[in-house]
Amino acid sequence: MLLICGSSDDRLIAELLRSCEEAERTTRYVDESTLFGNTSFAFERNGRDTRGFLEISGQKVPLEAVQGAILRLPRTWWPPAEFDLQDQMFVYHETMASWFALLDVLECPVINRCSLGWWLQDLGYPFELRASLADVLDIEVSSEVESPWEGGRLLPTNRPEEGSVVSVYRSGGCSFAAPGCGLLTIARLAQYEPALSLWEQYNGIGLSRLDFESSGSRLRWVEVSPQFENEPVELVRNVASALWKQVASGREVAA
Amino acid sequence: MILFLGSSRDKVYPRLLEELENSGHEFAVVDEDHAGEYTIERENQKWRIRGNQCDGSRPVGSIFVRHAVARTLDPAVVVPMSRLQVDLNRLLLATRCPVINRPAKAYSNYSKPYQLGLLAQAGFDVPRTLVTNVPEQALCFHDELGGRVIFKGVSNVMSFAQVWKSEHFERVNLLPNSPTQFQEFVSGADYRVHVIGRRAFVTRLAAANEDYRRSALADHEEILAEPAELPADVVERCIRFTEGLGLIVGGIDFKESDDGRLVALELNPYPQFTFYEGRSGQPITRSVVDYLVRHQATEADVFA
Repeated sequence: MLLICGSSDDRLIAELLRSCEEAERTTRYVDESTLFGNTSFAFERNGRDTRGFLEISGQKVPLEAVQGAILRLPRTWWPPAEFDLQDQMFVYHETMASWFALLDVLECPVINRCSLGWWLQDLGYPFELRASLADVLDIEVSSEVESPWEGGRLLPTNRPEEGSVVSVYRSGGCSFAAPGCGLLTIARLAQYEPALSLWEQYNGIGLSRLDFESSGSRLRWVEVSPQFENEPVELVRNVASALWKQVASGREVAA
Repeated sequence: MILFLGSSRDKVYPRLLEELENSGHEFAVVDEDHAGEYTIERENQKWRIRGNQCDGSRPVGSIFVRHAVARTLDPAVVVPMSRLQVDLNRLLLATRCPVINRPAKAYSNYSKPYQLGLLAQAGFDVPRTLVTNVPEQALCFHDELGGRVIFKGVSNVMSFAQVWKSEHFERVNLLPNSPTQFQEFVSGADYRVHVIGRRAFVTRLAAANEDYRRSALADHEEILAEPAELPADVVERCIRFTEGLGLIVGGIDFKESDDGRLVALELNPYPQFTFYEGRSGQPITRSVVDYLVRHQATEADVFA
C-alpha cells in the first residue's frame, strides 16, 4: 500500500494518484488535517524491534504493509481551537514528534524523510540544508537575506518568478529544468551527480527544488516541499513520473 | 575569547558566568532576554555581533549556547527573540569554532521515541515503549505490563513522567486528542550522566516521586543527588553516543532497577547541569568552562 499525504489541490499529488491508478497500485490518500487530527495509530518499541499500525479510512494497516509514503504537507494543520493556546502548542508538538518517530520506523521509501528540524519548524533548518548542499556543489550561498521567516513557519513555496533566479527540480535522482533554466545549469549539476545523490540520501530528500542565482554561481535556496502552481503540465508530469518510479522501485533516493 | 549565548533568567547563567570569571579568560555574553539590543552581521565569511558588551571586534575562540525560552506568547517578546536566535543559529551553523552545543545537532531530543531508537541502536537497554492515540492500545499495553506503566510527553515540551494509577483510566479516553508515550515502569534509582567532551560525571538521584524533577521543581521536595559510578563500558558508550550525535555536552538519564537492569531513557542536549552539581557538588560547570578554554579555535570567524 502506498500512502500519499497532502492537499487535494496539489498538482503533483493529482499526477501521482493518476500514476497509481494506472499501475493499479493500492493507494491511500489522506489530507493533512485527517493525517494529524484524525488518524489512529500505535507503534511500539521493544529493544530494537518496532511494530504498529495506522488506521486509514476505517482500515487497520500494519506498518510493514506500507510500501511507500509521499508527504506533501501544506503545513496548515493546527490543533482545534477548543483547547487553550498553550494546550494547542503542546498538542501540535506532541503530534509532530509522534509522526516523525512513526515515519522513522517505516522501512519503505518515505519522500521526503526530512529531519526533525523541518518537523519542528526550526527556522535554522533551511539554512543548514542550503549550507550543506552548497558545500557539495562547491558553490557559495546567496548573500541575499532569505526569509523562511514569514509567519514564523516553514511553509511550502512556489518557484520564485524573478529573472534573477533559476530553478531545478530534483525528483527520483533526476534533474528537471524549470522554465527559464538553461541547460548549462543542468550540465553543471550533473558534474556533481554522485555527491548530490549522497547528499539527498543523507538528508532524506528525494524531491526538492534548487534555486540558484541566475549566474549559476550561488545557491539561493533549497525547497523540500516545492509547489507547482504555475508550472507547465509536462514538467509536473515528468517530476511525478520520476518520483513514482523511485517509490515503486522500493528505494528512497536514487542509488 | 569565549562567547556565551543564553538567558539571564536561566539558572545556568549565573553559575557559568561565575566559572568564566574564575577562569580568568576573556568572555562576552549575549543575553537573549534583551534580544532587541543585538545585531548580527556577516561580512566576508566573518560574523560580527554587536550590542551591550559586544562591539564586534574581539575574536571568539569557543561558544556556549543555551537559548532563551520566551515563557510568553507575547509577540513583543517572542518575535525579536526568535529573530535573534535564527541569526545566531545561522552563525552557529557556519562557525568553525567549538560550540557547546550546536542547535542543528540537538534535534533528536525533540522526538523522544525517535531518540530512544537511537539509544537502542547504540547498544543501550531501553524500556518497552508505546506511542499511540488509541485508548484500547494503551489499555492493552497496560495489561501486558501488569499495570507497571508510566506515561509522558512525546516531544521535548516540558512534561513530567507519571505512573499510571487507577485515577488515570478515565483519562485514557482523551488520547485521540493527543498521542502520548507509554513506557514500562522501571522502579529504582535514577542516574544522570553528564558528558563533557571525553569527561563524564555520574550522579545518582533519589526522590519521593517517580520523576525526580517533579519532586524538586513542582512538589518542592528535597531530592538526594550524589556522585556515583556506573560500569566503565556504559560511561564510554555515553561519551560515544554524545559524540556520535555531534554534541560536546549531553545529559543522559538512566533508571536502574532493583535487580540491576540499567535502562537508558533519553539524552538532553541542553542539560541544566547546575541542578545536579548544586546538590552533588560535582564540578560540572567548571568542566564545561575548562573545555571551552582548552579547545578555543586559533583562527576566528566570529567577532563579538
